[in-house]
Amino acid sequence: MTAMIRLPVLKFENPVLTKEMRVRMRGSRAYWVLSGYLTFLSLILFFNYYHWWENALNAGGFSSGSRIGQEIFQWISITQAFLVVFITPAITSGAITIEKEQRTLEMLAMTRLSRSSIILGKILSSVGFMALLILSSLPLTSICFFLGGVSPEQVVSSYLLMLCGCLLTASIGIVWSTLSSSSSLSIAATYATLLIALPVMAILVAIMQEARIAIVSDWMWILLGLYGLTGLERESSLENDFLNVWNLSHFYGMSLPGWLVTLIVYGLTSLLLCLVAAAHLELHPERSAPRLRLATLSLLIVHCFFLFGARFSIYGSLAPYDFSMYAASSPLPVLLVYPMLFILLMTPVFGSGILSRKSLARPGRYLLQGWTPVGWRAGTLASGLPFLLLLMLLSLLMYGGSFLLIGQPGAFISGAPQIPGKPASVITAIPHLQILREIVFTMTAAILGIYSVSFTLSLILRNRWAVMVLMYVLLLALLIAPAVSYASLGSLSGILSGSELLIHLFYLNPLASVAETIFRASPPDYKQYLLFGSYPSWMITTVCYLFITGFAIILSVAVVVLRRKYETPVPDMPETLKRETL
Amino acid sequence: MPPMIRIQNLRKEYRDLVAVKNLNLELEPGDIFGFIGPNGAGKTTTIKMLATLLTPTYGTAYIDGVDVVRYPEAVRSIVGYMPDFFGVYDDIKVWEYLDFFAAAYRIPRAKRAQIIDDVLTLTDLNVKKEAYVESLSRGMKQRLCLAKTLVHDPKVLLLDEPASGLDPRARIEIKELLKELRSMGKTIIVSSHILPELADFCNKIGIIEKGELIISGDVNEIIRQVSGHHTLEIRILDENTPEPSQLSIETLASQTPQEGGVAVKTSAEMERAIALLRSQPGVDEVKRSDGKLLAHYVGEPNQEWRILKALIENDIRVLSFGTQATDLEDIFMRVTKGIVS
Repeated sequence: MTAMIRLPVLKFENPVLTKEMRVRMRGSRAYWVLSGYLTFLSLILFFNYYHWWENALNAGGFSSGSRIGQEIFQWISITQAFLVVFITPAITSGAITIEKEQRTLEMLAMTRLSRSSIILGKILSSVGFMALLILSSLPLTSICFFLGGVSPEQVVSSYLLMLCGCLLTASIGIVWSTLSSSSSLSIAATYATLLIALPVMAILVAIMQEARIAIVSDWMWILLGLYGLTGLERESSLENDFLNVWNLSHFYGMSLPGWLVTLIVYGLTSLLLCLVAAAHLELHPERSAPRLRLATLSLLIVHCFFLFGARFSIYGSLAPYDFSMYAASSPLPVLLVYPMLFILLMTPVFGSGILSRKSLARPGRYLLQGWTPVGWRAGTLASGLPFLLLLMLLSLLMYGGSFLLIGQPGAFISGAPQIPGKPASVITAIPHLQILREIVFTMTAAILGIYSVSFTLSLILRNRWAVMVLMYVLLLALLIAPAVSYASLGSLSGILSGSELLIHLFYLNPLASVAETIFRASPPDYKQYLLFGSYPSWMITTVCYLFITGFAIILSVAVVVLRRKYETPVPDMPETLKRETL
Repeated sequence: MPPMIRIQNLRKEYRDLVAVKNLNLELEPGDIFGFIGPNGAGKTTTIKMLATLLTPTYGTAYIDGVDVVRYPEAVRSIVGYMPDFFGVYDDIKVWEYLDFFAAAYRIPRAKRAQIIDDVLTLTDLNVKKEAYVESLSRGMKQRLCLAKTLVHDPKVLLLDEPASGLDPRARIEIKELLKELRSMGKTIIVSSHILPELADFCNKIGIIEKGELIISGDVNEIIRQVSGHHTLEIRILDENTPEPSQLSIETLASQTPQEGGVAVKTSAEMERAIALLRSQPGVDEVKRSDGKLLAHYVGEPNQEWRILKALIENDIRVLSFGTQATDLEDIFMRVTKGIVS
């Protein structure tokens, strides 16, 4: 009898999850958090209702309940989403560091638990607790059912979105947790990531909108998770905003609700972040490096697939709205801006590292090894460059593949696929191949330049974290500074001489050059302020980065030569062993 | 019999520091290896490399024939590792703690309860089964950690300073526990910077300093090797009222006043013994300390009986004759002398 009841599912056991769940609800802390959470939501609900009540009294009558129902639902969802985003990191960002602080991680590592099951247990237990919080608010939300105006799909999808948002922030927290040495550091880093990422991304989004790369900025809003919330308000108003979370209905010709796409993207991103965390738990770098690269590669593939799919959906089947205007004003290569941004942001990660004495002893051999499977497996710093170039190649392949998926491979030459039911003349052909070639030149030079700067810094500083922080500050300055300077030129403060010089940083911003290439029909306004403004920017950008690369190479060689001259090698290795290891 | 642990040219380098220098070692099944060295000598690094927690820069080790560098997962299930500093989880009961590790070692649920009871009995923590881990004393936590190390019945135990920071009683309890484990046939590597802690239950020792294994092998072997240098402890009769019948004519003749006679007489016998000892082959120094004679023996091993024979033949009343008990410490001091700075 008992044998019959025992299901294979019940045999699944994650010891970490069991332990965490046992401990989580012990003591009074969990109950305090729960009470606090519900009290806060109730207060929001109460004020909302009170506000409506007063307004209704002043207006001299009561409107129908469905409007307040919608309003309450929006407020509760938005409040909850923010609470989730800010409570979750507090739980997960300490998950691994506490094991380090308690000195239990080594003992855990010695067991037969796989790295991913440790991460899975930690993530599931914290997401489980957050799910408890989120679900406990259901009775409050259900008030909207009495008032009306909210569809069941909306309620279900917004709860699912919240859970997924929770999963995403949880996995960001756990990645930091595996990287940091102490809980306080990890918590600080996680919140900093959230707090810096939001405004920085928002600024980037604003710049991109300015640069008419709207579709990419819309996509980034999705990544920020805010779009899901703003979408609540937008639901009825924006019909032609085809990337709207709530309205996206075509996806490479498939019909999918927008929130589901967000859910899938969130879920896959979290999954890949968890893989990153698991790889970081690995004690042997030669085991974690291939996994980290695979995760990065997959992340790019997932994001490209969904981003491209959203745009290419126009051509896939009969679109419900008329996109011909949009398609005409925003050429397809615009989609490539996102993967290029992704790769640029990854450059400091793969372009920094520690160079061992062994590799510095024979630098030429070391650099060449980066291009062979041996170097790839070891994840050496030298193999970072080929990997980044591979990422670029891959995003181009996915872009090209999208033309195949919509069944119009021929349109790859003209860059203007046909919209079903519309005459071919609606969309003007662009010099597609030429644009792609220019993008590849610019980006290759930019990757080469940024990578070599990062490499040189690694050589000089010998501290990977310092290099990464420095490189990110540099990179963000490059991406943002010229736009800020440009914006200030228009105003009175632009008379300040500094901004006139800063604006030339546009030449070092590969994305700006790429955007200019794409929108070649109408050059951007800022060109008039630039030196050599009559030349295409991509040429100048490419030359600049090649120059930077050359300078970095000379500097690296100088550092290696000087080091070799003034530093004594480790003396203790016996000659026989030395020969064997090299 | 193949060796249970074979370490080959194991080497670990950090940026500018060589923590372990080309270590070589072989241990048979059932060996208890005492790993001795001052703090920072490379004990923990070596043990962590064996436990697959650190990758060697060069060289490798085989545990039960399995390469620790190439197959760390396989090694983990045959090795039990107890770190020098370890923690326990908060808000968790003793049995839950063990259940967690048993589950983590993929022991089927049905077998766990029995295993937990067994290891609790072995470590004498049965009464604490339902107690919270943080309520245990330090010694108990140490035993609990050892219990945790034993849940998957490992063939090899790597114990890093298992008795550090414990009071004498807890220290003795740990020692008893290790003896128990020895009788269970486990191969154990136990490290310590305190020698006497290991002296009485290890059959092999190794002394490491600055990453180099200076000396290693069978305890007695090592004692013999370095035992050019051991100290003989000799007590001879030194009483206040001598028995006249046993006194020889020469000593009686040398006595003059009756009052101070005892002191002078025994002193004479002592002097004579010292002189005799000094004339023996293999003895290079004789000291006197509270009624005992300490003779530093550098002669051939197993020839100490000749000294005793000489003493007795010369009518010196030997009460006891033996080698000093803390020899291991002596060796340690001698071997590591001056290298630690």
